[in-house]
Amino acid sequence: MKKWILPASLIFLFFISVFFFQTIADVFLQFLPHKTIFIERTSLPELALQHIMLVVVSSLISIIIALGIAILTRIRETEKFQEFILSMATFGQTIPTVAVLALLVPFLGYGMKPILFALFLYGVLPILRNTIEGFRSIPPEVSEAARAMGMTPWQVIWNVEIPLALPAIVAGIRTSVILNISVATIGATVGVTGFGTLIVNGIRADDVLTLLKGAIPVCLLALAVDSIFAKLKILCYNLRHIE
Amino acid sequence: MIEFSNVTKKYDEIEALRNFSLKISDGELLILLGPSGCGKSTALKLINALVKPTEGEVYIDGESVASKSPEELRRGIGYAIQNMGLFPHYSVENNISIVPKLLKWSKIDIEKRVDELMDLVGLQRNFKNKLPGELSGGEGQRVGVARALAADPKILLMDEPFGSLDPLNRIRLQNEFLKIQRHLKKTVIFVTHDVEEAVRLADRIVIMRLGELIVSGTPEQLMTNKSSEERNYISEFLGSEYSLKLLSRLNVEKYIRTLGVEKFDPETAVKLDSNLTQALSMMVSKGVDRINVCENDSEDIVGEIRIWDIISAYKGDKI
Repeated sequence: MKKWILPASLIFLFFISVFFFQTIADVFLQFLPHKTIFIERTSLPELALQHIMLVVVSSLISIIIALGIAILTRIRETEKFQEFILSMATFGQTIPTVAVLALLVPFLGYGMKPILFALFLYGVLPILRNTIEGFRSIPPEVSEAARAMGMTPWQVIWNVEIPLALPAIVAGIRTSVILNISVATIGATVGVTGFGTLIVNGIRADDVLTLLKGAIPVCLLALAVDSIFAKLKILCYNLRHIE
Repeated sequence: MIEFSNVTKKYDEIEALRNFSLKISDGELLILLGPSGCGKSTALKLINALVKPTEGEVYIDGESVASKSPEELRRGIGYAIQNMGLFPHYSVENNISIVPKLLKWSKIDIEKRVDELMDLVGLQRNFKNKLPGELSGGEGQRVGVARALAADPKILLMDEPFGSLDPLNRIRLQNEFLKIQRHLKKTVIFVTHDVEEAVRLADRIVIMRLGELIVSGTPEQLMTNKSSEERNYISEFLGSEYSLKLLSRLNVEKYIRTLGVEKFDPETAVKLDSNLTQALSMMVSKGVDRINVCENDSEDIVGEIRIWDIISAYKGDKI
C-alpha cells in the first residue's frame, strides 16, 4: 500500500483545493491587498465535475478509436498506413490547440462539439502511436508462435499482443489524458465550462485569485492522474495472465 | 504422410523455394539441413500454412493444406522454435496448455496433461507457475517441446529448437528428445544447419541449397553418395570429418567381441551404451587399439572392441 501514498495524497490535495479553496483563500486574503473577487455563477465543485466529465468522455472516445484503428492495422498488416499514422502523430502534436479550436468553430459552432473534437484529435494520436509502436516491439517469433498454435487473428491480438503491448498502450493513454486535462481548459473560450472558465475570467478581470482558483486544482488533477498512471504502468509490467 | 508437390514460394521476386517435391512418411524424423537462407524454414512453415505456396501444393494424408481452415490445421500440428517462441506473460503451465485450451479440453484433462508433459520433458512440477523469463535456456526449450507435444499432434515441426543452447545442454536435449521420439513415433520435420545435430537425430536428411532440394537420404547414404551431380557441394557442406560424425549413430554394443577377452587398464573401459565416436576417442587419447567394454551401471567387463571393428563398422552395412 505504501506505493499508493503519492497518488492518494495528490487526490486528497485536489479535493481540498476544490472544496475548500475559498476558506483557505480567505485566511491568506487578510494579509494581502484586497481585490474584488469575481462572482461565479457555478460553484468550484461543479466546474471540477464538468471539467472531469469532459476529459473522461473525450479520453474514452480517443481510447476506443485509437485502439480500434491500431488493432485493425495490425490485423491487416498495413505497414504503410502505420508509417503514415506515426508521422501524423508526431506532426499533429506540433499544431497549437487554440489554432485547432479556431479552425473548428466555423464548422461546428460554439459549445461541446468543437472542444470534444479538439480533445479527441489531441488525445487519439499519442494512444495510436504508442499502441502501434507497442505492437511492433513484440518479437515476431512470439506472434508467429501464437498463430502456429492455431489461434485466430483475434485470439492472437487479445491473448498475446495486447497484454504484451499493454505497458506501451497505458503510457500512451497517460500522455493523452494528461494532455486533455490541460487542453480542456481552452474549452472556456468556446463556452464550455470547467476550470478554464475561472482561468479565462481571471485573466480578463485581472483577478489573480480567480485565476489561481482554476489553475491550482487543474494542476493538482493533472499531477494526481499522472501519478496514478505511473503506478498502473508498474502493474502492467507485473501483469501475469489470469484466466 | 506429408507430401510437397512441386512447391515454389516467391517473396517478391526472390524464390525462397523452387520446385520442391518431397514425401515424408508417418513416424519419420526428417531433418531439413542447409545453410541459412536455403529455404528450409519456409518449407517447414508451408506445412502448417504459416506460409502459403506461390505454386504447387502441400498435402497431409492426401488432403491439401490449403483446403483446411488454417486454425484447425495448426491445432493438430506441434510447433517448436528457437528461444523467443514462449509467451513471456504466460506461466509455464499456461504456455504448455495453450493448444488444449484452444481445443476446449476440460480443466481436469488439461491439468493431467500438463503434469504428464512436464514429467516427459524432465521439468520439475514446481516450475508450473514460473514465467519464461525466469527459466534457463535449457528449461525454456523443454517447455517449448512440451508445448508442441501438448495436444498429442501426429506431426511435429521443429525450427532449430535447440539452436540457442550451449553444446552440453544441446546434446542432452537431443538425446532426451530422441528417447521421447522413439517412444511417441511422431512424424517430425526438424530444421537445422548443424550437421552434427542432423546426424545424431535423423532417420533421413534432406540437404537444401538456395531453395532447392539437393539430396535426400539416410545419413549413411549421404556418406557414400556417389551418383549425385552435386557431390562436391554435399561433401563440402557435410565436412571432411563427416564419416567420423556418423560413428556417433552406432552403438558399441553391436560391435563388441565377447570371445577371448583380455583385461586392459580399467580406466580405458567404455560403457555398453557408448557410441563408436566415444570408443574411438578413448583409444586415441590412450594411444591403444583395443579397449574393454563394461556394463552401464557397473565396472563388470562384458567384452572388448578393437580399432579395426570401428574402422570397418560401415563397411559391413549394406547401404
